[in-house]
Amino acid sequence: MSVAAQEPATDSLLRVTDLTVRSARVERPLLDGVSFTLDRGRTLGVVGPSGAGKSTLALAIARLLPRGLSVDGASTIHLGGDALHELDANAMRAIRGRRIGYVFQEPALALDPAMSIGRQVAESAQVHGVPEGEAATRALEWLERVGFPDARRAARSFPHELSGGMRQRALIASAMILEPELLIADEPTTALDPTIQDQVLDLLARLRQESRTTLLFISHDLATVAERCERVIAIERGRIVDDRSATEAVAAYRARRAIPSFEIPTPEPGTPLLRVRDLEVEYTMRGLFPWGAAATRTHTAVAQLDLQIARGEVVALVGESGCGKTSSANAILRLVEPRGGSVLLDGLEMGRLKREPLRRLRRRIQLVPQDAGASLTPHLTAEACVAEGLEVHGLAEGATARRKARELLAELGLPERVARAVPRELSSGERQRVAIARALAPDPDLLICDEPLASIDETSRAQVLTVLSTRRARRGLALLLISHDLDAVRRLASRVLVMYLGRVIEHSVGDAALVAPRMPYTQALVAAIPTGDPSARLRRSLLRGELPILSPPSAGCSFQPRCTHPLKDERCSAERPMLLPVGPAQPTHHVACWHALQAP
Amino acid sequence: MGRSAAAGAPLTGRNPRVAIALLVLLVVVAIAAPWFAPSDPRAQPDLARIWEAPSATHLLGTDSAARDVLSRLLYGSRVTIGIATLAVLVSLTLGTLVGASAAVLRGVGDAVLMRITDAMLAFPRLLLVILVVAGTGDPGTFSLAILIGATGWMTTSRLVRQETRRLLATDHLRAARALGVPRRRLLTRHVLPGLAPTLAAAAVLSFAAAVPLETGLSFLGLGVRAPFPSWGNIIADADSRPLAHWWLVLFPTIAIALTVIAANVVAEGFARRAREDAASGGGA
Amino acid sequence: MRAALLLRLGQAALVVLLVVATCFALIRLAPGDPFFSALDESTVTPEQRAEQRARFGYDRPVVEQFVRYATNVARGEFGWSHSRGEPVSLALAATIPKSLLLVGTAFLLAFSVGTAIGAWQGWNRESLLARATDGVGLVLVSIPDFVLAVLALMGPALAWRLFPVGGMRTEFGPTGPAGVPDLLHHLVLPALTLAVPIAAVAARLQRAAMLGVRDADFVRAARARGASETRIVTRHALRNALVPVLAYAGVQFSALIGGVVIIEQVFDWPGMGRLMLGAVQARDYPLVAGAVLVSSLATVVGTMVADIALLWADPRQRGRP
Repeated sequence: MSVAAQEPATDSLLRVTDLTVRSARVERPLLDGVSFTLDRGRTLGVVGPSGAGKSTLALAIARLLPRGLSVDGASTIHLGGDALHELDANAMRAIRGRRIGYVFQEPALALDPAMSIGRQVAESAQVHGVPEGEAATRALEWLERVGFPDARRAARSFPHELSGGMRQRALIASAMILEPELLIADEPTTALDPTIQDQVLDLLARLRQESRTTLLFISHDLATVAERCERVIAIERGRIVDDRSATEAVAAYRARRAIPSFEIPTPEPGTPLLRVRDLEVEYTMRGLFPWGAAATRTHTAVAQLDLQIARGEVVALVGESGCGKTSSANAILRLVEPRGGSVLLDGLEMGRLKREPLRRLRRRIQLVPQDAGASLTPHLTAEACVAEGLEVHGLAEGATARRKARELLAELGLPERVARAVPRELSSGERQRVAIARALAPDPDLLICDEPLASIDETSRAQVLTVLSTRRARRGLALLLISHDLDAVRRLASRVLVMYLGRVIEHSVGDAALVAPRMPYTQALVAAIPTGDPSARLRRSLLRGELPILSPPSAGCSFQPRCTHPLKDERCSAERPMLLPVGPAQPTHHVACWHALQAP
Repeated sequence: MGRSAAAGAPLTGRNPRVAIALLVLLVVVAIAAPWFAPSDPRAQPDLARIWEAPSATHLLGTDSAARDVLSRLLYGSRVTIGIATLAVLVSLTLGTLVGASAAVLRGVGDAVLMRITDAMLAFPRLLLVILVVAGTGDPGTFSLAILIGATGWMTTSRLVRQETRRLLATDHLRAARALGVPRRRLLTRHVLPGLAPTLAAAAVLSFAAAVPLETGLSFLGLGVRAPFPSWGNIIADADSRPLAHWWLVLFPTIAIALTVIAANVVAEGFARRAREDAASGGGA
Repeated sequence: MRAALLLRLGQAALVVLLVVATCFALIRLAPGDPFFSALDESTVTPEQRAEQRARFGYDRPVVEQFVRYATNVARGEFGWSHSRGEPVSLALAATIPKSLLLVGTAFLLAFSVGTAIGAWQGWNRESLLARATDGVGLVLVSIPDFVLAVLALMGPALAWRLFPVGGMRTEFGPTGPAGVPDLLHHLVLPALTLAVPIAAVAARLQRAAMLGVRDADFVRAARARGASETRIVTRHALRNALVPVLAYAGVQFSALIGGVVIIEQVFDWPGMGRLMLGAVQARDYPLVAGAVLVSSLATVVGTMVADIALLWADPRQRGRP
């Protein structure tokens, strides 16, 4: 979607002046004097940290604010020629759905679980007077347009039977069915994986162009917004702090977000700290009846994983949900029993250890889980959580342990009051750092981090990275970094592994796998992760369809059903490709694809 | 969504102070009945004065055997609250055992325990107790309490099972394991504290169910029997003329209603606390 | 869906088996001869006693006794009622329809009115009226049914003479179709008294469920499409809010059937409950056991129906047990 192809603005579609929204419970107004204009046919992005008031803004425009929130009398909202703030309930109802379409964040929650998809999509038309039969036909049309291969079948399905991406497409269909003038998308893809996110946003862009809809796009991620919108508004604490074109906004963002570079050490010779060989993790799901063939279904979460980390090294594991990275971490830590393979820590086979020696060994290999907030025991203070790391391994007790815990929390930039607070009282960024502190307390040799920088704002990010790299320099702390954040991965990791459906499909020493990916999936993944620069995007659509919910095909390449590589052939479905070096000149970059190898 | 404004409200919400105070008061009265009661509940000072309306000498009137109703009401509180408390202990213990075991065992063990629970739930509780009482004759206060407890553990077991399952699957439990916390400490520090609000709610709920059951049985003549007083058999004493002997109905009714209402309010408060803790702490 | 249905049926069958076994165990555990009171030498002939003994395999090993008991029950034979001089099954059969009338009416009243009120209370939580009725609901939930029954007797029946004091029909009154108004007149108080506590519970459950649904995202999404409030409540909110109510329906059913006993006693309604209480006084154990068994089986059926209704209301349950 290139910016130059836009029509010249004819008039302003949405004009918001002095919008102030107050809540009975909180002193500070949720929105304070917000004013902006959105011209017909344009795209406007709204960014800001969580709690800034972005959703409140969107809801206020559509007059969908929850009870207890009120709009000031001085605020005005104009849609075309109409003053929305003055309309009565019935008139507003007629506008919602017909002139304003709304796409919500969590499709799982925004769809009625007890009603079929088709009926919900048709409902959007029916409530505005379209007769039932015609509404049903239109619903089918739109389900097709948003990408459902079998629209009839989809119409009969219920929300819980669809994946996240498909649910969101259905929501989009229900919002667009009457081709509204204004489409408000509130974090429409935040809950989805990068490649799916990309697909859904592409869909949105296409539909938008076909129907000439004006778009108000809300997200916490500036990069995503900047790639899809012409103009960006930043909101913080209820006020607009910035209003400029997307390109300008991205430049400023890049400057702020710069990650200090750390030197990447060469791996130490000798026994690697962690050596994983041929790891296999299977989950068995019980069928309905405890007997017979339907009794158990096994799902292979991880297969043939080989991995090696030396002291002080940072290895990155990249992939989307379902690729097996979390299962790998759990298996390495022995939180789940792998079905096969071996995990050696300093030459010691973890699988052979009994319960107590294994527990003691945990001191050396720690985890920072993905949802750090949920990983903190709700009734323990931050101090107690971190101190526990010391107590259970006999490194300190009582008052000493608490003192050391406080020191560690301070090192990560957390103020005094955090130590005595319970998780409920902390922000998600603070909770993340508490979890990191807890993991660092027993002074481990290896730290497995699952998306450690996700919820942390920029200033704290630098602090966390400093702490980690200091430990690395002084104590040889090694990191297994699981992350989507390609910037961080490129700067920190000495080795990158890309996983898809339980297998490593590409890996490289250094960041070759991300800078010059050879495997179609990696290429799509890298392309899908927003960098903020629309023209730099690789606009090749190299995949289609969604992640399969069940296990992948047992023969051939697991990516093959979705792959659209021009050279795809029968070999792809017959033989599983092995990890081979890309070419003789690149012995450290391996890829598992029959067609990705350089011609000799 | 933020915490509801009723969170700290004294009447409803997480901390139902008024209701708790009322329950405590009732327990105190029950324990201290001998000091408050004007006379022996079984005393029959003047056999001519049966079925007397409330007066200066008998504040709440007399019953069919010329016994002072106020004294019987006070002593009856000992019986009713005592039986209910003992029953709660029994049902709480049984229910927690079954529910926790089902949650830990999973699979077939869980299914078996749950079907047994379902089967016990299929019996209307009153009928089950009547069946046992019919077979054994007058069970006596202690056995009656045990019997009531033994027929009321099922709801508790369902609650405990659900909550234990949730607690065993929390992210923070897994993280604590990864940290290297030993098993015993995992249980005591990371699992059990989460169970406390649910247990408290279940206990009070059991109490709120036990009181109507015991008084109902006594009313039918199958629970606490004459001459021992219970709120239920005082009402029954009005016999076929409840309107004429209205004091025999009104005062026990007020006592029963207050007790059960207070218990229900407290139980709802605890249940809300358990729900909120689950939502904010261990889950999403 | 079919698998989920079969599973429900299978579970219900298992529960029925356990119920019969429990009854059997309780009967066996009662001290003395469970089938005959020691006092009734005169009413039971030696031949009848021997016949009952043989039929229920009294002198055989326990397992065989249970099997016989179970098969007898399946055939509708529950033993001999010495206090009434007829088979238990006949005694029960005469009274079941009358109890059914009472329970059925109460059930319909309780669930329809209760859920409607609860839904309204939940949806309009802020209104003063809703909050006031909430307090009333709390009181009604907490008052035991026998107390309510006695109060109903005192007020509407005795004091205000609006309704008859007891019984199912006026003595020597009209029978057949002409007697229906009279029957209904007698039905009102007992049915209401039985229904009110259950309705109060249903209302509270529905209210809580509605509160949860009211602020759900999908409700907001429906509003964003332009749906009217009425449509949102009827098409979206209610269906989803019914789920928790149906989940508890089985327990409510059990409470209903239990409550019938006391109500029949207080209002002198000639149903199975009153029969059972009379049997307790007469030490007619087989009759007591038979009545309890029949009531429990009715509860199992009711719970199963509620479970199946739950499958309809919540599509998410259709795929898994």
